[in-house]
Amino acid sequence: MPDELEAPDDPEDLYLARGPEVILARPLLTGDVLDGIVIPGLDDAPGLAIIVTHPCSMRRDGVDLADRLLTARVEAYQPVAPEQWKGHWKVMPLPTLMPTPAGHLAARLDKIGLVPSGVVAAATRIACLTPYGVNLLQQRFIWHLTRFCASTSRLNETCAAVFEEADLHEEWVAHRVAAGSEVAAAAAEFHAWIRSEDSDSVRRQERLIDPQRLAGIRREMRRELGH
Amino acid sequence: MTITVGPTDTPTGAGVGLSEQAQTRTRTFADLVEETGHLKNRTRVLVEDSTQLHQDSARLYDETLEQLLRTATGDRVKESVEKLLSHLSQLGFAWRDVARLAGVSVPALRKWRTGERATGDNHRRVAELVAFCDIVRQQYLIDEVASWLEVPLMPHVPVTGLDFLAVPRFDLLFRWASDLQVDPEELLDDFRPDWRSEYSSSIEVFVASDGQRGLRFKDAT
Repeated sequence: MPDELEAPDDPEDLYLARGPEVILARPLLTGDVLDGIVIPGLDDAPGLAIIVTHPCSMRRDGVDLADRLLTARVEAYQPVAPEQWKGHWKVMPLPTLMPTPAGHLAARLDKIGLVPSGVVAAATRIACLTPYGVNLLQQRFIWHLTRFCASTSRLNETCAAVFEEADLHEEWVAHRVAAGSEVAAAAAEFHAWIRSEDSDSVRRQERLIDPQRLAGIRREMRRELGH
Repeated sequence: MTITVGPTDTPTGAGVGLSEQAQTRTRTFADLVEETGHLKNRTRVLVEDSTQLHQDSARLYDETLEQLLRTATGDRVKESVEKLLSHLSQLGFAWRDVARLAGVSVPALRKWRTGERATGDNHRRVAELVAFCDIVRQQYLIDEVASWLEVPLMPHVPVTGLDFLAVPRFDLLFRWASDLQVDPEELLDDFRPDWRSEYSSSIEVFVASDGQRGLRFKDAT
């Protein structure tokens, strides 16, 4: 239904990668779950945390991470059935995130704090959410703060270009690393390419806003990579 | 009131051989009503026949397309998954979309791209996707098939050809590709009858003064 808190049809729809599926080639993004994080302001031990900084605000210049990233504690929580996602306003349920003796997990939207991006970047990433998962996380966070409900389809319209760039980044870096490059060097190379102008003198990064252009940019990138 | 017909100066083929009396008989409005009623009925029957013929030919067209897709899939499935994925890569598909259409995770797809074997069913799904792209490109001259599939059918309704493929509803996609007059709303009605209420929203996307996209109520200016 429009403008109501949504629930995934299948919990698997939330996750792009978990555990060993997570690869370093993927840039840090909203919805990444990290281990061993101390969240300033919370009087608890290091633990799991999820990045809740808005996707468009993750990087201060489109390349380097912002100095601090907003994170929320991920901890044990009761199971939340799909029909119960309209409630439980203080959490983002994370069913099937990982097997845990404590049972199900959820991101606590009332336990948040800014973590230095260096700490985040050095931490072990245990999961990445899909764009739909990130949109659901945003929907619940906005609702928690304001009781305003934005549909995931509208939220996706605002962030689709960032999700696309993350996918391209991952593909570029994974390809270069497989050929012997360092992750950081490959990432810098990708940023230079995506921010450069195409044959029409338009920055490729700006093209990512238009769904009609995406396939062409992917083809161009794959040719550049020698696919 | 009566209407008098004929005689004509030059008899037509139908009039040749008829008596002067037959050609000059007086016809009434009642005769005309009967004749036009008959004509109307004949026209209705013709319309019904042609509608039925159109439906039958459309059904036959769909069936032959399905058969063509099966045959083309049978040819494509002889290729390795790695090679099939290479075709899709060259067409510009996003890996997350291919994974969704194949019914697997993105990490599983990544393994296929590096040579790991897929199950028979998964292999066939990827072959079917490539075969579908072949048909659309060859039969309907849609060269940018990946773009065609990922652009929403209508503004502000987040349903794309990829959603049709995921189900899959090849019939809707072929109709969309082949019929230049097709109304996207008809396709959406067929695909998801509740789409109007499902995707209605009181908010819209706008570009803020810092260049970032944001959300606001539709009546906000």
